[in-house]
Amino acid sequence: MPQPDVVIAIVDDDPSAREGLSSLIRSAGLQVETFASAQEFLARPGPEAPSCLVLDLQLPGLSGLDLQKRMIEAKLEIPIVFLTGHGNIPASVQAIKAGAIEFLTKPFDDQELLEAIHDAVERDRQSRQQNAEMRELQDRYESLTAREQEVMQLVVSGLLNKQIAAELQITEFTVKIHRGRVMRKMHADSLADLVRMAESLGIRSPKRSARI
Amino acid sequence: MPQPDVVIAIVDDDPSAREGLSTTMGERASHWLLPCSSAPCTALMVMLGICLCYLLLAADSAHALDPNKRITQYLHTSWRIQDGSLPSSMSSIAQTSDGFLWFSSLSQGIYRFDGVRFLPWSIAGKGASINTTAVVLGEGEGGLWIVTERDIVHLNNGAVTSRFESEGDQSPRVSMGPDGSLWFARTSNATTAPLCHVSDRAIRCFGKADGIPISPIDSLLPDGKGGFWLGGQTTLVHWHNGMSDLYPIEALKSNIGQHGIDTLALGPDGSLWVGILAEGPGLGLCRLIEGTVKPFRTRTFDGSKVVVDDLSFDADGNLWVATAGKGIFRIRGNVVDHYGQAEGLSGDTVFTVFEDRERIVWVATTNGLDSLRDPRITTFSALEGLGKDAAAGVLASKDGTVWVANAESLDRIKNGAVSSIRTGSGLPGHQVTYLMEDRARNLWVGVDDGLYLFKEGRFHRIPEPKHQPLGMVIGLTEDTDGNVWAQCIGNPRKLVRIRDFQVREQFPAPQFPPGRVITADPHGGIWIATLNKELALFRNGALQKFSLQPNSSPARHQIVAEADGSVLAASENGLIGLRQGKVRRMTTENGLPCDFVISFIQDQEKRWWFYTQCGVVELPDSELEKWWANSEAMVQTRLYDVLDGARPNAPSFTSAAYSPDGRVWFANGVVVQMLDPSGLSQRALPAATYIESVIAERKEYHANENLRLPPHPRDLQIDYTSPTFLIPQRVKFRYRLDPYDRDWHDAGTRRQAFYTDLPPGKYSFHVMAANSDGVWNETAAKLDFSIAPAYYQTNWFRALCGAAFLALLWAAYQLRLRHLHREFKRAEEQREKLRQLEADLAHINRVSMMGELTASIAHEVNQPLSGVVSNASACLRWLAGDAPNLEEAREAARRIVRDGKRAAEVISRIRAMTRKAEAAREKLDLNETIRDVLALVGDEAKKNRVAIRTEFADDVSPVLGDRVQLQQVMLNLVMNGIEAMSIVGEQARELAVITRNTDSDQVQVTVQDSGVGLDPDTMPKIFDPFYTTKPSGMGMGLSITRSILQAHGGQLWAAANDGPGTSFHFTLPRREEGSHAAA
Repeated sequence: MPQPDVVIAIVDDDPSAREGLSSLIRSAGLQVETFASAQEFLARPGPEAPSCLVLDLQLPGLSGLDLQKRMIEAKLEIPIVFLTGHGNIPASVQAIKAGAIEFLTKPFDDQELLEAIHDAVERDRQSRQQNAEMRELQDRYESLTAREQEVMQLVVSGLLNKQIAAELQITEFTVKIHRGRVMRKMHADSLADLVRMAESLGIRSPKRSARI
Repeated sequence: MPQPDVVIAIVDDDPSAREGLSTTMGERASHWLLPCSSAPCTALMVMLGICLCYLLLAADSAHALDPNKRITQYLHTSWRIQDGSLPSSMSSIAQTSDGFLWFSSLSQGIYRFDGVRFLPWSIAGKGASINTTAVVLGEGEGGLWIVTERDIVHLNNGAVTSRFESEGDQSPRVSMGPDGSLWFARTSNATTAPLCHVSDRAIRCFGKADGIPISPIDSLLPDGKGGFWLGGQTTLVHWHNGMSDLYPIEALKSNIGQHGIDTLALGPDGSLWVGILAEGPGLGLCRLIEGTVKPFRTRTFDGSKVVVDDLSFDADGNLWVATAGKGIFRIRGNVVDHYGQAEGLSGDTVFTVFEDRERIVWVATTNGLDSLRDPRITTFSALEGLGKDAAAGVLASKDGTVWVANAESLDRIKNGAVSSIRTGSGLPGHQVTYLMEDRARNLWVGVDDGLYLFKEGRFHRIPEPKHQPLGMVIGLTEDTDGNVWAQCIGNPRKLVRIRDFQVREQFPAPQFPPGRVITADPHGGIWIATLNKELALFRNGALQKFSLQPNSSPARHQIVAEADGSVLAASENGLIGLRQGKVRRMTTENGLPCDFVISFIQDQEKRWWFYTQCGVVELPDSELEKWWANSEAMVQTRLYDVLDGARPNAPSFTSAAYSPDGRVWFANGVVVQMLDPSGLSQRALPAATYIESVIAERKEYHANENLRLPPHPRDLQIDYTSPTFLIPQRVKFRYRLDPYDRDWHDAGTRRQAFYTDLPPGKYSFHVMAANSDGVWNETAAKLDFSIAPAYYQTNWFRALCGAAFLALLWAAYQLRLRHLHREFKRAEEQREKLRQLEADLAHINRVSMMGELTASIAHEVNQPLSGVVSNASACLRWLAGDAPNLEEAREAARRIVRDGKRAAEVISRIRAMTRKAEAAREKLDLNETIRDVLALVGDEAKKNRVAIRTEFADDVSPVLGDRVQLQQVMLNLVMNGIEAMSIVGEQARELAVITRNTDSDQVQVTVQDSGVGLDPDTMPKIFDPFYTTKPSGMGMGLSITRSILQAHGGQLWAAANDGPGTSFHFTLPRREEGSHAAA
């Protein structure tokens, strides 16, 4: 199952491990990029993020966990397979908590590693897909006017049209027009559809909550 | 002419002896050996002292006994056999030129006397002792002849110079020739040659053939012209020029076989005195007058009534007669004085009388020995004719009479004769009280309760007003106006003024101060010593008083006012002086020998004479003036005490007088004492000193020259003496032992010197004496002696000791050496153990370090293993499938190999580090060594997020060292650095390891961290063992590191960085090319 478009990044300061990993992953038909340190990885050129990061826990300078933290902070959601020379329970717990796919202790079974990488690649693919839908939804939401966005927020919070009109001190009619435009612009088939979208976008009605 | 009854042998070829004989006997003299005779000697008496001429020759300035004095007035000393103070009857006396007196005891040999002790004298050398019954002595120039029954011995300085056998005469008569030879007359009946001459060479005897008509000879006397007077049994013979004049004594006609003329003496006037050992008409003490021997008779003395033992003239021409049974007589002209047992002589039977060089007369009696000497102070007592021994006052009148106020008599002394006016024969009473002579030479005499004028042998009582007796007169004086003042103890006590023998005024007590002695003031008035402790001047009816110190005694006994206005008074607390109204006292604090001054008087020479309780004190006027000038002054006095004849007592009335002949008189309540200031000086002969013996360790050695004493005498006593007889108690000595003493020791009267623990060596002992007048004889006696060194004081012993000491030292040195060697070995073992311990410790440190690094090391091994596994898996995968990728598979396999090797390398490094191996020095590349270490700690550094930076100089010189140890050093330093940085916050954690060559042939390695840094306070301690800042550390790391580096000849130090952290530097010496490794 060669997946030539999938790139696996390896960050390990030890050349033996790096080269062994590289050879092993390439033998699975995946593309490999190797880095000797976290800094080197962060300075990686190119717009496309790799599908999976095989990261050694012990690195000079920034450690593996530090790198993970940085990536979370930079919303760089690359699935990480952690490797470590010695089983470090606290470190592995921390890594998994922070969203690592797998935590493998060297030397590891090649199958284990490759499966972890496949998991990571799959998760990455899904993640990429979700990210694309979300972006579209976002684009739609941003195409709404400010009044439309206000109306949408109130609609998804379950208010009736006249309630919205009272809230916004506009006419019910105007509410209907805005509501129709929102439904349209958001490609929403139903109110339930719109509510799901709003949830995805993380929209809440701030005024309402203020009123309570 | 040879005698038929003698064995003839001519042995004397002495020309001087021959000449001497030729003057005596002409050419008829021949030379004889002493013929043997068995005739018994019957005479017991020993005669001596015929050698008057010799004595006269030896006479010097010493004063003889004053013939004007009675024998009783001489100071008499007695040694009595019954008291045990001398050994036995001393029958003859001689004095050798060295001053010693020699006595021969009737049965106990010879004694030498030095004034203090009688020393039995044995003849040194030749093994002989004098033990015969009769000994006679004769002294000559430089020697002493001892004639005994068996021997004639000539002693010279204690040594025998010649010795002859004697024939057995029991008591020969001896006389000395001027050349020191001996003449002796044999008393044995049987001899035909009774007169013998003895020189050191031979004896020659003379008899009938030589013109001596008698035999035996009982006495002999040189006539001073070369001949001899010889006394026989019946006749007196003058033998001269080989002829004899015979003077037969009628009374001895029938005396053949008996002792006859026992002694002869030649007076300075040429008179010959003959002493016959029998009394009776024509016998006894006789004189040769006009060819006839006749008894000597005076008005009071009959010579025929005495049995004469010995006759001798003293230096003043007095004849001393020793009698059998009647003591001694002294005859001068017609004056005969007697002294016998009644007067104190030890016995009335006298062997001999002998005057020594100091003019002391020695009297040997059957009971003892007596000496008579003329004291400086002469006593007049009842023995000399005073009425009683109660002399209360003395007065010297201008006519030379000395009056003595006595009880029951008024005594007169004139020209040595004493006469008395006694109660009942002129004296108008019992007690004579006070005497005074006025300027008109009237003698005023207080008797009982009246005052009398003594004129032309009669006493005239001074009329008393109202017929009331004046009372006992205790003071009399005549003032300048011609008034006679009398101090009277009557009822009441009073002072009386008399003029023209009439009482004019009376001054009764208590209106007038009761007084004691009085004296006229030369400027008018009188001085009164009052009972109220005052001196009062009564002049022109006025009384002026001067108080004495209240605590002292009053001036009771004498008061004198001088022309210069000063007043002197005698008191029991010294001499009181009053001058210009000030009272002062001269006491023992001023040098007065004693405080109690009885009376005093000044002589014409201005000398003051004080009669004190310790004797007569002489005080020159200049000394008194000194005292007037300063009452604290020390005065120089001279004391004449009991030994000089003083007999101080308590006084009663007047007590001092000065007679026109210059004599000083004192009455002391008992006797009158007289002192002649002109006869005081230099009476004693210079005291010659002799060293007698040396007693070392109780063994006595004769004081020979160059005496050698045994080693180490703990106690050494040197006996010395001075033969002086005048006042031996006053003879003082001083001595010095060269080189032991630095100065003279004053020995006082002691006659021994003592020394203890004298070291060995040569010594010279000097001793000198001062005679009884205190005159030192600067000619010291000297004795050289040496003390042999004890074996431990000898040089060879010292050398031996030195050698022994050196040997001991050497042994001690060897012992010490061995000890040190052992110590050294032990220390070496200890060091070895320590080294071992250190190595163990280092090993432990290493292993514990490795323990700390376990994770890191595991990682280091794990990495390549992980690589191997990965590569192997990859390899398999490359080979699987339809189109195996061989190239990739090969690449993977190659990597497998590489990683496997790498893992093995890590393992081997670990093994090397944990190996417990002996230190081995090898040539090392420090960079490589350090790299090996860094390879192990990489993971640890990573874990602590420490970046390790190396800055290795490419040309770092090789060093010589133990790889493991140096890696341990690096490991410690690197781990320290990592640890120091593990707790710092966000700052960069970098550990730099730098190597470089220094200028001083060394390689320097620096491990620099950016950690917390070291507290400057702890900096000096960090290399101490067991010093740690870590909670779990042992504190040995840096200490071990330092010891390893020091063992490599390197140094380790720490320094703070400019920035954060600390740098540890160490240096190691470069290994020079060509040098070889030393294990």
